[in-house]
Amino acid sequence: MAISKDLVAASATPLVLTILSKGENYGYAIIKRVRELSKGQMQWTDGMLYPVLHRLEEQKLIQSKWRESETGRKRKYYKIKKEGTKVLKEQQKQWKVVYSTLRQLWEKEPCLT
Amino acid sequence: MFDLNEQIIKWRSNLAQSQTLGSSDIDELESHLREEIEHLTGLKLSDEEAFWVANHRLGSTDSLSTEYEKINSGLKFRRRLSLMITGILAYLLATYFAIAASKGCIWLAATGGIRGYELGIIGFVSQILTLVATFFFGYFICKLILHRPGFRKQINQLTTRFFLLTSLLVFLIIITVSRIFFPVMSVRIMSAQEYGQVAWALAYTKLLWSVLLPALLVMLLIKLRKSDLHEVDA
Repeated sequence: MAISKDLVAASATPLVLTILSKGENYGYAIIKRVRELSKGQMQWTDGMLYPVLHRLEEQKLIQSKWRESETGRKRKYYKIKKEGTKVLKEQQKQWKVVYSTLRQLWEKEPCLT
Repeated sequence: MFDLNEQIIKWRSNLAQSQTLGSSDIDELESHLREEIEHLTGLKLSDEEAFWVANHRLGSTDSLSTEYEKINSGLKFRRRLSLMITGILAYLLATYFAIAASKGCIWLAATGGIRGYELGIIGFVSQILTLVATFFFGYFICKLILHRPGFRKQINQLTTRFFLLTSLLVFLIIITVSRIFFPVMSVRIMSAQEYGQVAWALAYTKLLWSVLLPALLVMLLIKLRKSDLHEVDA
């Protein structure tokens, strides 16, 4: 089962912010992590993540820095900022509301009569 | 034989042509691409297979450039603006140079014994010829340099930039000094009336240029606009 494009796009910001809230990271590893956690069901075209990262950086939620890894490869690392943590908390609240609403609807409605 | 680095350079230049990605964006994507290729070759794929799979996963050049266009809208505008400014700078430099050269020609012709209106015409003709020659020379040089691989990297180096700026400054100084020097020398060997005749002839012939050049440019613009319209029709 593949998740629809719109849903992937909508969840991109909280996904990225959550992964970065656990420590700084770079694009390739973020994509790998999402793929692992969703067992390959949340598949976005790899290149689409970077514009998301850049937009978040423009909004000053995260910051980036070019650094050389242990293997000598240059990578752009991203780190969450204070403002980003705040936005993430807000988004978590929103997603929880959406999730609990859907769950209530999907669970068997109690029959009163 | 498949050359991975060569393919990546080609891929980079394709992305660069879309004009919506900055070089830092492309660097980041390349880093991703190489990492994915490394991962895939670890799964026993050949370099060529790994490149195409990684390329496919990253997304096509078109879709990448559309995505980046949304966040880099200022980039395209800045590039166009810098192109325009370069054009204006080139025009200014070329005209300054042409004016200096024509003053030099007037002085040379005056020492050769030529006087009066002919001298003015010589000045005008030499100015136009120098201008045209400079533009062709510049066009030729640009074509030669821009198609050389590694040029962009070179121009980003600090020493190259310093060298270019210094030579521009020296060039400007030489032009300005000769624009003052040549008329002074010319005035020394001819009477005020003769010099006035030169100025008179120059002023009239220049009138032609100031009408001709805008007319030419407007015609060019109309032609470009027309070819645009045809594209839309098709």
